[in-house]
Amino acid sequence: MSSPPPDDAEVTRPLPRPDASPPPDPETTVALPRPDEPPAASDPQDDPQATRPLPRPEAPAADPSPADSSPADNVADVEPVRPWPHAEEPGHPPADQAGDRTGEKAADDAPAEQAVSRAHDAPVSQAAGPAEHLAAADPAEHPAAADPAEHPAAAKHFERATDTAGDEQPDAKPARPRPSVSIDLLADLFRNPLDPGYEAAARRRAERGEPPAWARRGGRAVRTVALVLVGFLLVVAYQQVVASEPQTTQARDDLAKEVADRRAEADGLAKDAERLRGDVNRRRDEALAADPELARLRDLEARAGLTRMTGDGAMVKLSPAAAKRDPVTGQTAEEDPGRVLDRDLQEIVNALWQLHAEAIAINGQRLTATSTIRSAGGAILVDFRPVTPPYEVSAIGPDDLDKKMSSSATGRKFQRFASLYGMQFEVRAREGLVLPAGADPGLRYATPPPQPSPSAPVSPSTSPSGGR
Amino acid sequence: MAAVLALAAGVVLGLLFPPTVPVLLQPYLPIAVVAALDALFGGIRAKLDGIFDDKQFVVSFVSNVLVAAFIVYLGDQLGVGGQLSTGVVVVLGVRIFGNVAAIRRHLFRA
Repeated sequence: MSSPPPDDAEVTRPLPRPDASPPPDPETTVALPRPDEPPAASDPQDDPQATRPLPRPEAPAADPSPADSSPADNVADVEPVRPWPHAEEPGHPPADQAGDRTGEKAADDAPAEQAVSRAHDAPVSQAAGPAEHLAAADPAEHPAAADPAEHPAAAKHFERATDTAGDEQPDAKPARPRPSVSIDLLADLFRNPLDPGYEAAARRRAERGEPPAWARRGGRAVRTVALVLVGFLLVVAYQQVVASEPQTTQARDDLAKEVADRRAEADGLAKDAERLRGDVNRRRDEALAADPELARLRDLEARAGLTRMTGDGAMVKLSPAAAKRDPVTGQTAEEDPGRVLDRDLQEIVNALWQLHAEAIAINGQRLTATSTIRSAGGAILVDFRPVTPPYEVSAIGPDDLDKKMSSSATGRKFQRFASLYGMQFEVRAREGLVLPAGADPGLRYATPPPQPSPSAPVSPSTSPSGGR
Repeated sequence: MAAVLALAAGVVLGLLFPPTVPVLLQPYLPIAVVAALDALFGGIRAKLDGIFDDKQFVVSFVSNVLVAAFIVYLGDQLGVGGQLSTGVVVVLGVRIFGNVAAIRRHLFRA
């Protein structure tokens, strides 16, 4: 919050005139113009405060608080308006320390000083930030302002300033120019967080004395109303935030809950269907007990993925590499070759089919002849149900399925991927794999085409041509 | 003391009679709060500096809130959306920070 390094300020601001002399060293320029010499005042139009008469040191103290508390903190932030009597002291303290220093000084030094700092805080600031002040108000920037004839207002202001200063402190210096208006807006903001209006009001009060009692009472009432409004506003805003937060999170929660509900419902229905299917199968088995077709039917059912299957086989485990993070930004890389794609799963599944696997499931989801493996966004969907890594492809098939898989082209390819990109890929033999039944493909019924003429013979295909 | 009581009264008032903020005004509320906080901390600091002024405080409060709301409105109308309000928040945030730092120095001398 306190003074920016003066060097920076000087570097960033171009001098208005190339032939102007370079800015003098801060230490040397602290030697201010003598009282009989006009100050380098900034344009009064730019800077109304510069022309404002300063409070006389003997003016009543605007603040009843002890002198060492009020100047101490202003030091860093209040615009320098007027020289501090000790401005020529070498070794100006940094703004923050200056507070303490001036505080001590006010306590044990000349009483005149105390009066000055009580009357107005502004003078103190000169002690604090001469360096920054100099950096900002480069004399080279106001070469013309030095001429009192050109700026009568400035000269007049100067006279008043010297009057007051000269009365009390013979060694006091005339008012320094205020920092140029061209100063960086942000730097100004950082230096003066306080509304300058407060300062102006205090100065007005110091000039004209305290306002009448009725005005003070009115002011207090208005202030109270404003404070009540502030408190009210805070509460209202807080309640608004609290009230609006559930709306956003609630919508999400509702949706998530609905998804979970529907999924549970679907699972329940699937279980129902499975039970009924088992029922049907049992009855059919009873009915066809003597029929040699039964064995063939069962075999076909197993291959179509319509029944639960148990058996030995292999399990292929595939998981993506840990996402690479940028060490600086912590962001994951856009291109992630170690990701498992739907294509990878498709390839593995097809390789397993090719090696005479009889039944395959991905993460417990049985694949049938019509299953799909695709990606939607970052997720992989098997039959429109998301599966998450690690992907476990279980296959029931010949005894050496795992070895064949490992040595197949696909297996070798994924082993290379694993070593290159850090994916995990392993093929293991498994015994007693249990694969659930696949999704019911649903029965499809043929419908007769619209009859062109009533004389056409009735098509025999109206009967259900079952999917089983 | 009276100021703190007034502030507390405002809080209690808001708790007792929670108003329904019109949807139209809702986007301005957060920025108005930041503006009000700026005025509030400016006032506290001025008080500690011994240069507090009722008129200045009230005017800065009202104008801060109005100007901040207006800038948000302008941003919406110009289609730059939150960017103008970001500017407001930055400026006011810097001021609040500076004033709070000054208050802190007053209170703790550090």
